[in-house]
Amino acid sequence: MVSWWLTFRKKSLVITDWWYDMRSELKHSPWRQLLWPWKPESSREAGSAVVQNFLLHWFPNRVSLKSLSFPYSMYLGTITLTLFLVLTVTGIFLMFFYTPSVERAYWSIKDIEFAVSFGWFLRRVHRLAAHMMVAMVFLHMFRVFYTNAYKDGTTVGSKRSYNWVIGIVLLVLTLLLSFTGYLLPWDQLAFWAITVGTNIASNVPLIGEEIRRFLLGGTIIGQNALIRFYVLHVAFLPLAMFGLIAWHMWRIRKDGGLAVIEQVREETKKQPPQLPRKTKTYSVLGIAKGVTAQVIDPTVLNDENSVPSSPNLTMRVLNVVLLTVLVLTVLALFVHAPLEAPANPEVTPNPAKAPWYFLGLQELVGYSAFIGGVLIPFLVVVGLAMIPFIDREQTHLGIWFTNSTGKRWTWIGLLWGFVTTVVCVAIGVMFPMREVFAGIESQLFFELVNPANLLILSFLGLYYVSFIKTRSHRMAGIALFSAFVISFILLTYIGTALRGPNWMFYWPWETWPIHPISF
Amino acid sequence: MESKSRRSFLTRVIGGVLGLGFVSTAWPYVRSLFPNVLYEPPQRFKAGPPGNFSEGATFLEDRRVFIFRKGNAFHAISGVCTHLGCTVKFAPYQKPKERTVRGLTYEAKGEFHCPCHGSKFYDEGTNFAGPAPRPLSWYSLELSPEDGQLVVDLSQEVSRDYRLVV
Amino acid sequence: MKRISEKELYLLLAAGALVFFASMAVIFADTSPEWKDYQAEFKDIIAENFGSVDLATVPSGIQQIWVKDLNRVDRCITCHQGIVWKGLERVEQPWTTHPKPEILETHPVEKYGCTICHGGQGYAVTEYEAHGFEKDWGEPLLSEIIGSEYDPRNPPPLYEIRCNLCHRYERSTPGADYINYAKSLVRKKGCKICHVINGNGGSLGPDLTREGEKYPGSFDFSNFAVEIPSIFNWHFYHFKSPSSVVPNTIMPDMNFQTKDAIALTMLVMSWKDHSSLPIDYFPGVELKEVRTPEEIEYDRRLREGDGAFFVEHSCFVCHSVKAFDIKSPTDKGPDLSFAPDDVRARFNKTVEEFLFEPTGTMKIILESQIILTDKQKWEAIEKINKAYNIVKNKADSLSTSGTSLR
Repeated sequence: MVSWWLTFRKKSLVITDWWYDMRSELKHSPWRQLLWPWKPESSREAGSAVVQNFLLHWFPNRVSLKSLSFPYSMYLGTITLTLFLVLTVTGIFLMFFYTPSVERAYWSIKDIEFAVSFGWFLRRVHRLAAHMMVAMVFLHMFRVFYTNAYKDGTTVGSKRSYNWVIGIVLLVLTLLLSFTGYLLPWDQLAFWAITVGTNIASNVPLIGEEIRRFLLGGTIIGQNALIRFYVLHVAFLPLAMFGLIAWHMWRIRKDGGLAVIEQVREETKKQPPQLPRKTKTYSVLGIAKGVTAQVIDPTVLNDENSVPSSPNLTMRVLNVVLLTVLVLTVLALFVHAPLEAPANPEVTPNPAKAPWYFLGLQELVGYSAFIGGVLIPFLVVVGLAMIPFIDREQTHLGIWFTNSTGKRWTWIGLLWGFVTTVVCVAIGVMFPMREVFAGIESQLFFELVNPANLLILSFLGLYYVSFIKTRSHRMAGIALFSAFVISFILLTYIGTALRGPNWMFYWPWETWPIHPISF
Repeated sequence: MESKSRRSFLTRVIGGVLGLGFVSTAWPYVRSLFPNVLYEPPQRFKAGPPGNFSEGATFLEDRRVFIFRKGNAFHAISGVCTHLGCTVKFAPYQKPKERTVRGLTYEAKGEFHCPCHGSKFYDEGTNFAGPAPRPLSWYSLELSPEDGQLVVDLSQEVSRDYRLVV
Repeated sequence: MKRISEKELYLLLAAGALVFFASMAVIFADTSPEWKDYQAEFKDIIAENFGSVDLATVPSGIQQIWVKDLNRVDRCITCHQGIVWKGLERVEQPWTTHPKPEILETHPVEKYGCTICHGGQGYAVTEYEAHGFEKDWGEPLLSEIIGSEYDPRNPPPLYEIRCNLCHRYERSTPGADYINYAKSLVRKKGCKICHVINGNGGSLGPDLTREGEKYPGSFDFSNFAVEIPSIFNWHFYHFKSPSSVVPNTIMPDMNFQTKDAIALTMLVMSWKDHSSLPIDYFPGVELKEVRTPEEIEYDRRLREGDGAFFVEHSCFVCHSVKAFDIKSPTDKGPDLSFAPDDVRARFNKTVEEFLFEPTGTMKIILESQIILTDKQKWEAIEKINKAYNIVKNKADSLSTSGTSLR
């Protein structure tokens, strides 16, 4: 026994020796350049590792503990970017097997499902990641809004308001990418979702029909429409997306990092001033370019409130990426990607539904195509983009819900949004306008008098009342945004789960009529 | 002072020329996306001899149009919902009903129902429930001089009093 | 320098390990499909029944029949590997021989595939999906499973519906008993008085030529209680009692029995749009031009008459043979009926001498293009003399009859 132990120790010592040799070997080998970011041995090495590595150079040198904390950002942006990269990879592989022609599109998807090795997996991951990306983009926006992170703050050169607008454009691009991808399988779901979607576009005043013709490359959904949506989906929109994502990331660095850095700055200001220390680990390029956001005030980030990005942030990001991939892989094992019957322009499925994130809109479109399909989306997108320019109170950056008043208005907004949405849908279900005003033939009347407009008015009223009460655009904004969030969720739920054939209202416990079949 | 305003004039001219250059460079790319010819079925088509249609509604699925026959009078109503373009379905009544629409009393045989958002239309096209903003279109019908077949013209909308008597 | 927290590293370890396990699960899921089990079992069956067969020649992997003309891909034979093997009749599904080999002889698998007759989803490679029982697949496998839903004791052979896609214009098709019975009912009950069927008929009822093409959603099930709202049930109950399915319909109750209604339902559902099927899939449609009886008779004479020798050896390309009623399309050379006179006049030779020692154009032709054996040359001489005699006799009889007339 003892002798065994001795030999073991001897052997393990040999292995340890070999390991140390390898390490010193590595230190001087070309591999070092690639490997050292993961195991820097000093702050200086950590800094150089970030700056001199292509993949890591968009990380800061040091990162504050507050920015790193999970409850603050929940890494929703990182998850979104990971999903986008997964979508790019799976999408490129799917392009090898998919044929964008009216005759072949549907059957090439069947082949991907049944005849291509792991084709089912690629398709499921692509679909799941697409749905999750839409959800994550929304959640990311919610987080940025509630933490006051769209505000410029006090750092020189910081323009988070710009980045918020870029983010809104990215949100729209994400929805467009998802929508264009929806047509490609060329099944009933695809065909009728696009029929409804492009007809919504034709409700734009004056140029609506032209927009629809331009989108479809004709008057019907045919080969022209398919190839247009395909090119938009695989080339045009992803390229725009990549460009804007790069801009979005670059702005984060220009803005001095996540908004919570303002909290760190304020705390440091309260401390007795310290002597500036040598923390310059920047490359020649960094100095030549002048001050960057990180070196402008070397006293903000110190050993107590921050850590080097390498390996603390890099490992965290790696973890988020791995967990995202893990969730996708596990979900893909259980969640099937549906493929309905081949597209048939002669038969409208009943009910014909858009993708879930448009079902809230579809619910509103059920009252008026123009109000629900054009006016409200327009108001929402423009309203969201305007937020940083209406709320100019440059305080409480990086603090969830601002303060206790903000929390209260969040609750009030949620409650108001819930109640008014339920009331509006109930009016729509129980008192159809055309039945209540059966004698009136004017379409303009029904464009003006319908539940969707009531909802808009109730939201504007909420903003007005909360602004009068608080004299703060931030507080009124929180109330309105919260009402929007709950209304979006509620309408999406109603459109998804409570609307059956002929867009009739069904309670969750009611069963839909059985769909007729051939045999 | 003078040179400054000259400068700003020059800047504006340069800006204008560059703008024109950009637009003229971009134009071919944009214009190419508007097709000049369409691979779409013709708007005017023959639907078959009038004698082949039975009394009441016949749906021509591939062209999404209903042909109604009452004795020897024919008319054609679009099957495309005016809301968002889904195909409506004809739901016949068990017994014909008396109905007055637009001051006209007639014997109604059924209704059109849209599956997408629950719009409803009377069998003469008027929208009476749901979000549909307009009545269903009526299309021109005529007899082909060559072989006497019924010709539907989807590009020509007609009033709701139109009847083709054969 | 602060070290990275251990928690972070353990999370990394766990996440990495879980990604690995999840990916292994994906790889396992893809590499162990159910058809592999069926193929393994099939090899055992082959080894048991045909000891001499080399198992390496039994195909493995996804097998498919691509019928380009029908725009169909059928992967059924991935599991149903035995259908074309003879001698596996007693083996159970999915390995058994096709139960009706005589049908396979006239409908070779390579030209027809499987689903055009049986229904089902040819693209799929799992049982549930391939048999087309998914909600969104409109063409389920027309097996006894579905048949027994409509008549449990005597399941109708629903696949006959699909026979009638191509056989719809036949009065009767061997093997399609239900369809044949339904067609006889259509004739007996006079359905065409009110309905257009196969392109002609009355207009009191709707045109039924493409009735089988209609979609489930276009049928109204609101007026009668039925467990499965299917097109089959709609037609079935409609045939048994039209007014219970469509109140106030003018279609009379024909007193159809259950079997009548089933057969008629099958027939009606078979009336699909067949314009996309290639024409050579239709029986009784001959792919050739229409010819008059005179043309056919002339053609027969060319091939079988006395002058067949001259047609067979291409002489008639240049020479007519009037005696045998052969007309050359070119008439480049003289009529062979007069050859004995002709050859003597031009070459001062007998036909026999000329054929064995030709001169001029004929020398080139007989040496390079039309090469005759000696035996064939003698046959030619014999035929030419025969023709010569016929012409001579005709001329003589003409002159004699002419004189007698005179």
